Amino acid sequence: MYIREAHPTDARPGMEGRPGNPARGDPDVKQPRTLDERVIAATQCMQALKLSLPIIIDNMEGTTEKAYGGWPDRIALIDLDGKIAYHSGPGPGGFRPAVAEQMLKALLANGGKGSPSLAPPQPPSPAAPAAGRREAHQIETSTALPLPPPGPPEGRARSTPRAGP
Amino acid sequence: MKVSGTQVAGWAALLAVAAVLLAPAVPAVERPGALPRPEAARPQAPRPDGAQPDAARQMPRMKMLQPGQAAPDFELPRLVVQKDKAGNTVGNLSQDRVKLSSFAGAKPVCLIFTSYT
Repeated sequence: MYIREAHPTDARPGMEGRPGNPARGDPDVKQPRTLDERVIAATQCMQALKLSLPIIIDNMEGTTEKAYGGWPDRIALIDLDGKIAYHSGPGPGGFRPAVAEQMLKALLANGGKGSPSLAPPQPPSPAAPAAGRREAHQIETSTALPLPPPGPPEGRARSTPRAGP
Repeated sequence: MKVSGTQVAGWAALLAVAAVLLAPAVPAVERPGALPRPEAARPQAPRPDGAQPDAARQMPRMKMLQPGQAAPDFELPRLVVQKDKAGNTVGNLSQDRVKLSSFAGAKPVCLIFTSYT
């Protein structure tokens, strides 16, 4: 679901996140003001990241984005009955594809039927560190899953690597 | 001069009435250390771009949908990427639309909300 940009180069204070900086490897994309501009941005994204997933374009009112609280990024799984099986925390901290993958596998293993008690198998791991060691922005706020062991923050693949600070 | 209890009560009532009547005419004074007034009460200058100053705060970013809750339905076009005659990649919106509820009973759906930036 392609929604409004999180870090456009022309980000307005209070409206989006920090402005993107192409000199640091951020995509050179302004906030689309029309649906055509959004289609162009989505096409650039699909090409640069070599995406093969079907992409749906949200309308300029952001109707679906708002219904799911999808901005800046988020993952939702819908079960066979059309009900929410998993709703991640808001990005970037809550955007955790590995957790969503685990949940999707669990959902499929359950015949596509969601359940509040549905939880992915926990990977074998050493004892979890104290909760206080987790960064605040890494705390998963999903209502369906227990937290997996903390690891390095997940990020989406970028078309160009960031330069050093 | 001897003041009776009745007189004291009368003056107190008079002062109370005066305070109520004069209160709107007295400008509010920001006292040092006083709690700030609620944001909604502060007048905000219109932005030159016409955007609402508090639009970002009104975004339901922290909205959580509960497991078992009906997923909000939508019907939106897909992105169709093709090459034109010159070999350039062109993106368009599909004529058909994807309706989330059409997947019910057929397969689960994974929605990833995101953008390029």
